[in-house]
Amino acid sequence: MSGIIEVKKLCKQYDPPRGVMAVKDVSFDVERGEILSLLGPNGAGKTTIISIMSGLLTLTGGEVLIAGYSISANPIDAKRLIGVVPDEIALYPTITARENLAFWGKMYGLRGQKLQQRINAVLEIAGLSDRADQKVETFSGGMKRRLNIAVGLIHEPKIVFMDEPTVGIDPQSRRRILDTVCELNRQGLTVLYTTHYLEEAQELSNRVGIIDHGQLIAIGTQEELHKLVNNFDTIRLEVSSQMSNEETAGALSQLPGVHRAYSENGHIVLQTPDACRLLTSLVAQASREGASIKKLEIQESNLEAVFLHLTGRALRD
Amino acid sequence: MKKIWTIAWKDTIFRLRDRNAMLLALLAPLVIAGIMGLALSGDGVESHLISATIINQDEGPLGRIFEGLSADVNAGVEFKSSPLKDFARAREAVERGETQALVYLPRNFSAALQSAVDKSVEAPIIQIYCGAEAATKADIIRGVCDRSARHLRALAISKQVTASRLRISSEEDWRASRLDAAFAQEISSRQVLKEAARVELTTSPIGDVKIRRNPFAFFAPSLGIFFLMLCIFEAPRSILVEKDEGTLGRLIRTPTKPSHFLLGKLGGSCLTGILQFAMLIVASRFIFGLTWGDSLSGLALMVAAVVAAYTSLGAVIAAFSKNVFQAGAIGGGITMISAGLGGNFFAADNLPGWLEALSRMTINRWALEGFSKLVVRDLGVSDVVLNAVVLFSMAAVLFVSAFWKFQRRIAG
Repeated sequence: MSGIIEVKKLCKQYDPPRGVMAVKDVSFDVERGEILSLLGPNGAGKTTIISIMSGLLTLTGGEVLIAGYSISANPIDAKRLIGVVPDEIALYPTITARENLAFWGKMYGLRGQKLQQRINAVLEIAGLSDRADQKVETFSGGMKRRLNIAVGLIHEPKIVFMDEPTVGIDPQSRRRILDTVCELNRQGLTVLYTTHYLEEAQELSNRVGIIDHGQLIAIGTQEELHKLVNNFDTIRLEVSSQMSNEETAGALSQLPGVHRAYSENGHIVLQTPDACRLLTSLVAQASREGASIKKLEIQESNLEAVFLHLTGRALRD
Repeated sequence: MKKIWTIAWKDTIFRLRDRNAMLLALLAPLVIAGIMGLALSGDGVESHLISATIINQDEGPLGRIFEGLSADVNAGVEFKSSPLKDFARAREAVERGETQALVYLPRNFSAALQSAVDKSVEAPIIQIYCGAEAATKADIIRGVCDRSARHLRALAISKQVTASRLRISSEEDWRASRLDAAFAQEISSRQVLKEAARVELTTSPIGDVKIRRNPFAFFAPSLGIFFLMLCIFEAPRSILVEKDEGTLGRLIRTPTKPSHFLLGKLGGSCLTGILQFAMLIVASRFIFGLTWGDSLSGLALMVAAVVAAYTSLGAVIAAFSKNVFQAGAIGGGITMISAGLGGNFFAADNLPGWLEALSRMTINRWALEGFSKLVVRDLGVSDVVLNAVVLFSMAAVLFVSAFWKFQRRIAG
């Protein structure tokens, strides 16, 4: 069965034919009531994909269907079904929260009592009922972020696109936003969520898509993605030795329990099914090879490891 | 339509709530009206009269009446009769600074004006020649001449009607009582308030002659248009501000057609512009006693046309500018060039041929000409229809250009 959102071979090139290819052949579906996170570093193309899907940018190839409506051929019908929470705080600072919501509600065709009901409802969701009549410019960053989300929900959409909604806010506000997303999803809202925080993707998502350099390099449930790295833990070492990192990695790869060892960006990276069990023999072997360990990091099997495995670099790089 | 109004109203409210915008919207018209009032209708009007010499070559009676009608110092022009008969020699007197302008009535002035009641006969030609000192006041002199010529035409019609009706009623005197009604009907049907005589204007080039402060009517529309241009150019830049603040992206993501969005943004500018110009007119009229002509409908039509044209021009500037600062720089440049070419600083009649043609491509020229017809020459709404049509056409072309560019930028 096809999803409520279908993205087929999506491409975006700025200033064609020679411009940057920002999105290359991206395809995925989102099922009704699902949270799909697009995870990737800054500049990976997540915002471009959401911008195309929400009708802000035009695509240069492929197709996006929202509940069967093409965002290219029937943008007005498609946009009615979507709520968008952009990565920047897109609000009018010199008017109140209520006035902001009223304006955006009207832009979605809401009027009269229905509009007032929705304003009160989303103010409640955002926890801003007591600040409704204050100017947005007096709000903290977290409150603005919450209002930004409330605007995206004003017309009671079936689908909401959230583009990095927790960037630059305090932990409490972040927690509140994540709880809100979960609660809305429980009520049946389909969420497409982009983030470069793997913890958010891990906590929220039914499925995760990993984006890098404009390409969707993997998509699936977290279990499915972990299988891509065989549920291996990752050990990163910084060593001081007469030997090169490649030679040291070669020597350490002989240890029992090491699946793979290689040198990367001045570090030695080992993949193993159980990092804790390997530690004693690893330190002893390094010592025998004349290498002193200056720094050691253990990373259990997670999306970071998956990203590292698939792209050869860490998500935070 | 509701969405267009929602965006337009939001922008209007924003501007009214913004302290700086409020100052510009409310205070500036009052200040400008104050400057107009003090500079143009205050003390010393007498000492700033334009001196003009009438060379009356008319062989009929109307030329002399014209001299009498024109000698109205309230209009800011002091007419004197000249014994000179030769127009070329009289021009030399202007160049010598003995008088500032010449008004030449041709030999057939009376005959042509009386015959001109018959539409097949061409209107008489009054020639005006302005020296450097009066070059910027040419419209004022023309306005006075227009007014006098219209009165004379009304007089000519009245005479004809009277003669005609008296013949009819010579057997029955009681019919004479109907003459007043007949006058009104005839004068109305013949549209005597239309331009009665063709006024040709020539001016000598402005050299380094210092131009003195002089009376009112030229400056009122000129300042008003210049002010309106500055105000309205500020507004479409809000599109770029919305782009920077992210709300433009959010607006585009709502189920709103791009044309509705742009119309809404421009609608907000129009509302503000009309409000500001209305304030300028009301303040200058009631506080400082400046008149803006007798045609309220003409004034409303011109304000709407000018506001539409400038708003669309502002949208083009916003559409083709990369950011707010660039839009400000381009807008400032266009304001100054348009004002210079269009006649806000000096009468565009002074420009050489090719520059005069270029001047016709500016909003300012058509706007100033339209307002001058209403304010200086006391003409009516039908006389500014051409100006309004040209301005609305400019607005349409500019809007389409801005829309085309915006769509390309949005798609990018």
